[in-house]
Amino acid sequence: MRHFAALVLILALLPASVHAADVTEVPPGVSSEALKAFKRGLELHRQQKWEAAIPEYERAIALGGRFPEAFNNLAYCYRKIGQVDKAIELYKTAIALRPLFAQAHDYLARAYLAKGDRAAALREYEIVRRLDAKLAACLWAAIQRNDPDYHDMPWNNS
Amino acid sequence: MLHGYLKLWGGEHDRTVALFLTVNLPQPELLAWFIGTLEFLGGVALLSGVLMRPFAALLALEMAVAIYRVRLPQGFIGGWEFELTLLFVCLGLALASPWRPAAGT
Repeated sequence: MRHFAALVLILALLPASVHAADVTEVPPGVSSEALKAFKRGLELHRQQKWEAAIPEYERAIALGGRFPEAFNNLAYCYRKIGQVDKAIELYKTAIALRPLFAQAHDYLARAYLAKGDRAAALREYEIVRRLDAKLAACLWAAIQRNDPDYHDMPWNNS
Repeated sequence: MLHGYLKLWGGEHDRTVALFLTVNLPQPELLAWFIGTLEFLGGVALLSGVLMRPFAALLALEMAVAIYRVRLPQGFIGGWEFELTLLFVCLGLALASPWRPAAGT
């Protein structure tokens, strides 16, 4: 019974399914100050406070330079507040810094979808499916539904 | 040689195609097979000395394209420094004169 209660508590405390790249180690060339700003941004990001997270990610980029996770998450926040064109440019920067960044390709496809550019979304899908099969299946479902925010795959609910 | 092996048989083919798609290189599937073959046979050529100079020239060209199309935005340190080193090593091998004993040896 105690185990069941603990499980229920853990499930209740799990944050909403907000998709953000995290860093487990400091990327080369990124200062600890930049990483702190990134972590603050990530915390706000997880609370879905997009406008509050933006300056933190921008600070992380200003302090840290080539920081693909920060560009990726900043782009996500901009898309969430409706600035899709800016988001697309930032995703492209994240990808230029790390060309095989599957999540950035996934989100770039979703940004194209939000903009109504299905052909560009499919081009990105072709890249994602070669990098991450699960991510690609989820993206394919989003493209089929024409819903950039569709993430409802079984592994996202477990 | 190892990088070529991974691209041909080691499960890196899809990632290579994804990279070529990302940087808008033409015919990414075919190109991935070609680059895998070049790196594998090029490695054998550099090790054995057989057809070393033409393969070194091709590998130098590959490194130049890799720097220009992929690595430049990533900066020098942690970015294109390694490819530049490989480019100069391959250029050196491609342009090297055949070995001749020095006078008096």
